[in-house]
Amino acid sequence: MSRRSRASLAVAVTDGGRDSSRNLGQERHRILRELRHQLDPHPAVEDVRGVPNGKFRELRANLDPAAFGRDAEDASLRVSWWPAPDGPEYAIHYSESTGFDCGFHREPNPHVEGKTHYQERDSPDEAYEYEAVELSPRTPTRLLWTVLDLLADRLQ
Amino acid sequence: METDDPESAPGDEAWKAHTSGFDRVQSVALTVSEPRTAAWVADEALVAENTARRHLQRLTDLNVLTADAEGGATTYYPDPVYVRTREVRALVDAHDRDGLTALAADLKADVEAWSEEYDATSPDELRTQAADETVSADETRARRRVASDWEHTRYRLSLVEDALARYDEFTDRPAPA
Repeated sequence: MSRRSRASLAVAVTDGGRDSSRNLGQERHRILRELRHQLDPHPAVEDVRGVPNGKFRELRANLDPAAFGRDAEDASLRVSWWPAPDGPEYAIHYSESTGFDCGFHREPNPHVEGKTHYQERDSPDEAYEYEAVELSPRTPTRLLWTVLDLLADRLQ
Repeated sequence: METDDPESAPGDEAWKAHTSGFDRVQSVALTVSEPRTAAWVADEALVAENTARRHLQRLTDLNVLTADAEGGATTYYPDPVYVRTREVRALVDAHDRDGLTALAADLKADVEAWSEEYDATSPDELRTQAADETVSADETRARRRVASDWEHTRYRLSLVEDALARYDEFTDRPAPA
């Protein structure tokens, strides 16, 4: 790396995000913190933590598969949230020990029209099936409860 | 019970059954991307507007939110000092001084690796790269993810530095007399 890019990197590391009108790093922290609080009281959630340890980039919850009427031994939920100047992207994704996994995502993708969709597969060896969906909540925590309700429907 | 309210969403009833109105108002108000009115928060938190206003005022008194009454209806937004303090507290609870020092080095190394891999000096530059139409859809998504991780990591590093700068103060607890 050249000396010039090292100097500008030092600025990039320490300025706390002043080059954006919104502090998106702070926003992602407070959204993940609230989503974590909101997972705690959900009846299907056994425990929830931020991962990777110390970096707090997304959430992992252990779920009780029986709460969704599932026979699996273990189930978990991954919650990712990526604020962006042109609207947030997210993934709320269920996986279980049978190999089945599914989730509601909002992200650019070549599979469906629009960003928001549901995807599932029976095992990691298979390709996902995608379906465009519309979700009405405008805030992350209400959306979380909506997605957990829709996941329960899909998992029946 | 499901309602016929066209504004209702799946999961609303479960959310109401397992949380208080205050919890929902607080969680909605702390996750907004721009300042919002009590009416807006009330709709999303599934409470009456008067209830939302009362909880929002209480949260403002506690310095959890900031209120702005200029230009008509009062709008509410998370207080950045509260948000920072809460995260610093979580860091100090979860890591000792050596752990925080190691975490700071780890976060800096992540930023340096992204900067080098994408030849970019900021997350904004990475988002500009992602918007380039000649970049594949997968690459666009990867760059947007890294831009967000970079913003998140930069803020987190500033939290770890705060925690280290006042570690003794933040962990001090007088022994009982």
